[in-house]
Amino acid sequence: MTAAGPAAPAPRVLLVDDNRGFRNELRLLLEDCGIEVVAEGENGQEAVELATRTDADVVLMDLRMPVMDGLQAARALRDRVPSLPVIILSAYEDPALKSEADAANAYAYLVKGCSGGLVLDTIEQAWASRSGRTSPS
Amino acid sequence: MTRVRAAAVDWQAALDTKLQLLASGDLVAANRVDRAQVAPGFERLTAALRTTAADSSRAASAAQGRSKAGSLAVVAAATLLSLVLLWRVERARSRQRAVEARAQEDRGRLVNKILTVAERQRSGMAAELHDGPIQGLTRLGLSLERGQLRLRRGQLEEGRRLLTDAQAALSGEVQSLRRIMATLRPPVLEERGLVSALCDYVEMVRQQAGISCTLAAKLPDRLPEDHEIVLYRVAQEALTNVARHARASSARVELTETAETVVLEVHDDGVGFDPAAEEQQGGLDHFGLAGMRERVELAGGTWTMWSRPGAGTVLTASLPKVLVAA
Repeated sequence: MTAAGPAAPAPRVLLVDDNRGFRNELRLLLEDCGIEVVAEGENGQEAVELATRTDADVVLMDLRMPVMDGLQAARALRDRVPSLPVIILSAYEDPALKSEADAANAYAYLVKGCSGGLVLDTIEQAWASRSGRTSPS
Repeated sequence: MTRVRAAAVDWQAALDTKLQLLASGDLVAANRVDRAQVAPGFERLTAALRTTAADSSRAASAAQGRSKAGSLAVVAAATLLSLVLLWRVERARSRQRAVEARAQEDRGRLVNKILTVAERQRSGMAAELHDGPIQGLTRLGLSLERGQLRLRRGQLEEGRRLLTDAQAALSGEVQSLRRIMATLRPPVLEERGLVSALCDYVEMVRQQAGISCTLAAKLPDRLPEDHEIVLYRVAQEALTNVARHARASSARVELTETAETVVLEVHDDGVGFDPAAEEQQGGLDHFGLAGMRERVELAGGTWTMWSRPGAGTVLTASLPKVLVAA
């Protein structure tokens, strides 16, 4: 895991997933690695509202959620806050969904079950790309 | 001429029998009648027509010297009769084609229905895997990474606690996968039959949903495998609805038989609902009721539901009784 310690500058994350248990576990891991979770949401609609109200640097969002799914939310965010990178974290390893996520301008499409290290690295890269420090991989 | 008329009457009677069997959906019997009666009857009819035509021709030749007008009348009458018979044959054949086309359409509809039910079940299973074990195991993976991180940082106590929690969570996920496996195909259903499987399921509902759930089953013999599965699934779906939506304190499953049917009833004392209002809002599909009804009807049975706000719900599935020795 490459995340910085608590004192170093770190990305602020908006975490959106309808499974509360999974969300809690991911938040604890992110916080253990010095990443601040500025807000949490349970569906895409909450993601769009929270993204415009908080100072999140990166959105980490599930795909299949009630009310509004992750792809719809990613498209809405692309139109409203185009500079905010969105990482989709989905249970579906499906090239068609990945293409749709690409079309919605998602920064990355990760499949649930990948290592926490990969999630952390991708958040770091998305944050860096937003602040113009490196180009996305 | 009498011979032709008799052959035509026999052939038409055989054809009518075949068409009735086709219309009732008994294709095997229809084919048997076709082979044993319709095809040979048609052969006899055409042979009789040929014989009559030859007889008429001979009669015309014999009468040539005596009365030309008389012989022409015989030939004309034979030709007319042949034309009438051919028209009747053609009409009967087009009726047969229409009935066969309808039977084909019915078969197509049935296949589509079966495929739709199977597709719905597969998507339900995918959703259950997504919401259950996939989320649980992913969460467990993250938890193990946290434990690893703590151990690397020398926070041994916290690291050990996370690993112990992860071990317990893993057992929970294995249990959850076992439950899904049992839902797909409860081993007890195959080995010990419907009554035992229902008994186990009712016990599980009692423990997990905290509902007083009982089973009253009077069925001395085993049913065919497909009927046992249908009735088990209906009970399972109905009790899932009771646990999730009915807010019931008790439920009762009854399995009885009459001379011709096996009847499964699931009663609950929950909040009930207005079926007509729910159906208008498309709510019945949501409770899996449409799938339940389709399953029962595909097995040749009937499905009914009674409910009233505040007065609970009763689901009834009846299947034709076909017993198999236990």
